[in-house]
Amino acid sequence: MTEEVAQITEPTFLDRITSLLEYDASSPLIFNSGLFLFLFVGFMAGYRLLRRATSLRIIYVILFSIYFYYKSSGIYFMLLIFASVSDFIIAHEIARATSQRLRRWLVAASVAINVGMLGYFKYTNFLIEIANSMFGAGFLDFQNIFLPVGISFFVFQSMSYTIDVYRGEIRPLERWTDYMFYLSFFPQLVAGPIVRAKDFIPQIRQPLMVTREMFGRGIALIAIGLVKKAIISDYISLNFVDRVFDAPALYSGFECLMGIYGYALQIYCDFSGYSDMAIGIALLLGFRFPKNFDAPYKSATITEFWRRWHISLSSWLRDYLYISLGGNRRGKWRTYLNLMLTMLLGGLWHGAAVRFVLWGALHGVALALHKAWLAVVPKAKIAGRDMHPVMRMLGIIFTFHIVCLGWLLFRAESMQEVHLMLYQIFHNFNTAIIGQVVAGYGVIFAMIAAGYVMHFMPERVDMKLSKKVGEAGFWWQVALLVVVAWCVMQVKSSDIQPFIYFQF
Amino acid sequence: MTKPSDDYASRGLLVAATTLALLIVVSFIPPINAGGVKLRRASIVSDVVNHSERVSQGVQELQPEIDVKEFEVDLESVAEQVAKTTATASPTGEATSASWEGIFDEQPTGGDTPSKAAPKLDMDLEALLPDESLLTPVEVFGGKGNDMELLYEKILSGKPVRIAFMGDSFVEADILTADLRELLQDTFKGGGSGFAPMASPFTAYRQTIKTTAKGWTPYNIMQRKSTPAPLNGDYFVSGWVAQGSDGASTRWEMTSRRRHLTECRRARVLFISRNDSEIAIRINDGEQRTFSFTGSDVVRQIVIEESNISSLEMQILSGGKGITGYGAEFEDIKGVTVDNFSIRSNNGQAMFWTNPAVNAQINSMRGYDLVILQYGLNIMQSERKDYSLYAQQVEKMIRFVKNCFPEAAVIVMGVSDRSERDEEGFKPMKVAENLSEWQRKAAKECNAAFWHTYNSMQQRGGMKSFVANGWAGKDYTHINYAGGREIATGLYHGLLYSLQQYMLTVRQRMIPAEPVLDKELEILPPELNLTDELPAELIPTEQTQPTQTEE
Repeated sequence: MTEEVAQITEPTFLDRITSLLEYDASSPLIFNSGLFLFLFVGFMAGYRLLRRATSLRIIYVILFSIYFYYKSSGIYFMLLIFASVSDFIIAHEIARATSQRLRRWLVAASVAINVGMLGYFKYTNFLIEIANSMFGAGFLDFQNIFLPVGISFFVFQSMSYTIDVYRGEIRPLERWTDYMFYLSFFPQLVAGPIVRAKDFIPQIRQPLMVTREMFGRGIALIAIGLVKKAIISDYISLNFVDRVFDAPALYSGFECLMGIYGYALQIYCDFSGYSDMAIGIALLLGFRFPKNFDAPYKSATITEFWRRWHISLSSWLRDYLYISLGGNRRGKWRTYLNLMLTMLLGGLWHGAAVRFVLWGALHGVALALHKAWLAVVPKAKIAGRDMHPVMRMLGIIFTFHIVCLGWLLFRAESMQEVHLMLYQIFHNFNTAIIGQVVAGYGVIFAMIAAGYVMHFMPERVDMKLSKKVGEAGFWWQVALLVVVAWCVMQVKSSDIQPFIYFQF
Repeated sequence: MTKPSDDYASRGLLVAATTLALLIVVSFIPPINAGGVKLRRASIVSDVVNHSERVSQGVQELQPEIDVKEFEVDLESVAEQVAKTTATASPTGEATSASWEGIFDEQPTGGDTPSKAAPKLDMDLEALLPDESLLTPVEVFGGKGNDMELLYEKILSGKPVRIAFMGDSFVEADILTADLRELLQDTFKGGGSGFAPMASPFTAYRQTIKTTAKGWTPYNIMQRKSTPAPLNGDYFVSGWVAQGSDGASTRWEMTSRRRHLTECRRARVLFISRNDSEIAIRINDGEQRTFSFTGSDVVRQIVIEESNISSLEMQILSGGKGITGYGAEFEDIKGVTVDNFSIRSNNGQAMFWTNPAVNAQINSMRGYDLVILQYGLNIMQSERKDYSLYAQQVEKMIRFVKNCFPEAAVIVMGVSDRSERDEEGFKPMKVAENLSEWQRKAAKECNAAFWHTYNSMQQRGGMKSFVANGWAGKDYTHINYAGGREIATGLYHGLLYSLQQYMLTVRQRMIPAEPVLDKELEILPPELNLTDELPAELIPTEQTQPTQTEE
């Protein structure tokens, strides 16, 4: 009887808090959540207190990071610990080994363990799907495998460490805690950037120091990141982009094209916004991460695009995959092949599905063609800033559309959907309704336009903003964050844009 | 005031803590409606604190319920037009029907075979029914001999049953109907994808039939005012007419996106030929025949009966200017056919803009046994609870349908679930329950049947779960094929359950002794005496009194 009563009682305040803090795969701890702000304030108090006790502070950050990971992946935080222990030991063994052969075996073991983990958790069912499509449905049974959050990121980080030790570029760390600190550091743990061991390790035991410039940049990046991720990206995806991709035939070609442009902005804002917040939070903690996105749609060539888009990933792929495959040192055709392989695997890294491989293939082909073009036309340039302004403009438009074609492959659930979107754009564009569409989706189009305007703003504007924020008084800084957070909450609870028909 | 630059390490804590404190204060500012701009409560503590928004939100200004002018219809004149049409199938004396008869194992008849078979009352439906938690029965009003009972009798006797599903964008592209059709055809036989329009901009989206149309100019009934005469007076409940031209053609190809669709045995092309015309029909990309028509205002059909039709092409050879194309019907010679008649932004009023004579003529060729009305999604307003005015229009819709399709039973589907959002996330639009209740009332008033769509969706987790499962779009209003399958399954089960109740009742009548009723029978009206509808051989000779107990 008492049990029954207990079941129907409303959860108490304390119950709600406890359940909020427990592992819940459906609500990971993300920077743009209220819960994160609460936890961050608590964390910062301890961080400030342990300012001069470096070793203790390191352990404190590790514990918080493990909790951060536990919140979204539960017991799988053990995986993170396992990776750090195994690569910590392997790196030491590599440094100690006297024969090149043994060193090679050891680094291979590290790569095998990391890639094996990633493969098992991320690609098992994908491989089963491929096997079933080759040998008939039911050939293998799908496995119920949990995908631990951020595994693609920390596995790549860990590999960069052992490979750099093997290449003699860095010395192995003395303390395991330092390595665990690097691997689990919560700002970049679940969604990057992929911070290289050689960039991060020297900062670990430096005295904690946040300059005014770092602080201003940090606050500005957090605010910009919030606007990009939680206002622009979330709003346009829910109210426009997702719908178009869910049912392209319901929309005119113009709406489909806007859906693709919208998605290009959405994925950029989502990804780079989160990266910005990570870099901003790290700055407040006294750590500098390299830039991860550099206004990628300003690229005038596809090669330039890959120097501006998800830089930490593209440079990782270049240094550890492309160069390991032989890079451009083995002749022209081998270079193209290496580029293709790198991009195919890079595509697959984004997710276990054929569409990501196709996306990688498109970029691989585009990069190879551009490389060939550069060889044939000696005057051709890679970066837009070296071009004539008109050429640059044409290059930006052309590159943007190649990238958009890539996003279409990346986002569409099936080739049929890709075909339908293109069919609508090329056969059913319906210019007559453009005015109505723009008026009907006023807020959304304004947001997309604002997003692109922000994107094409010169870099100095961005830097000026950071400087201003750094120089601003305490209350201005607080006001900036409060206003942005308030806007995020308004957007989060705003009415859903109703479906509008424009074509008959 | 200059600070040592490294002091900023502490400032992070101060800024974060002050921001948090201010945001907590902001959480307690209630929602504001300032000059039409709705500002929500921005609560950082909404996960742990209940703000009970509904109370504080205040009454918002309500929009008018509907524009009554849009729903104007003179039902008496409708009845007259229908009566005139049925009295003279072809006023000019022209043949309305041309046929292409193929070679069959069992001979079809062009029309329906009058089946003398008795209803199969021993059909076991129990195994097909779901757990009670997923069951929303079709509610049948009207007591003894109501239209639904006539429908069930036809189903159980193995007669062909034709269903017209009239709805809005919710079911566009054969969403929901594709699966309702498949489930019904699984159980009661039949095949073919039902009606497909001659030409429409949305054919690409429909998975259950592939349509390629050339040379037509399609018009939609919602733009009736800009539709040129005489096409503006030609509308059928399908909502689309297409202006023909010489050489215009449409090719329909069966697909395998659902069971029972790859081939069908009867197709029917529907159109008006105001001038003399010649139309070529080619089936399965092979044999072609030409049909000639003398000009007339009546609806014409070309009936094609073949043992396997997998594609059909119609082409206007001459007289194209005078042709109003409707579309084609694909069905089997027995079993269930479901026609999807979806019209965007339609709340049901579009049927009043159709030509009753056209409806009646097509009905005389096809004979609808059930009409399902799915409307109301665009009527809902989040603050409005009173939908009495709309309910009156629903009654008119039922009467209109009964006029045009006199043999059809009518099921009114309640409005579907739809989510709205506040700072705590997505919630069901509660007024859907109010609107459903008004729709139910209208159905009851007209002795039609009712099915509670909202309830069935809630049993499946509601719109929020539909979106989370990928069954509905991000507008939290429109479902996709996967969501359509869920709702179709709910409706199918609701129908089966209601059919099962009918069978139980009839069987009960036939058992003279042991006056014990099954529990389920309690829902039946006490005055129900179904033996009147039963074939003579099934009526027990000794006692035909209804068995009732007071238990």
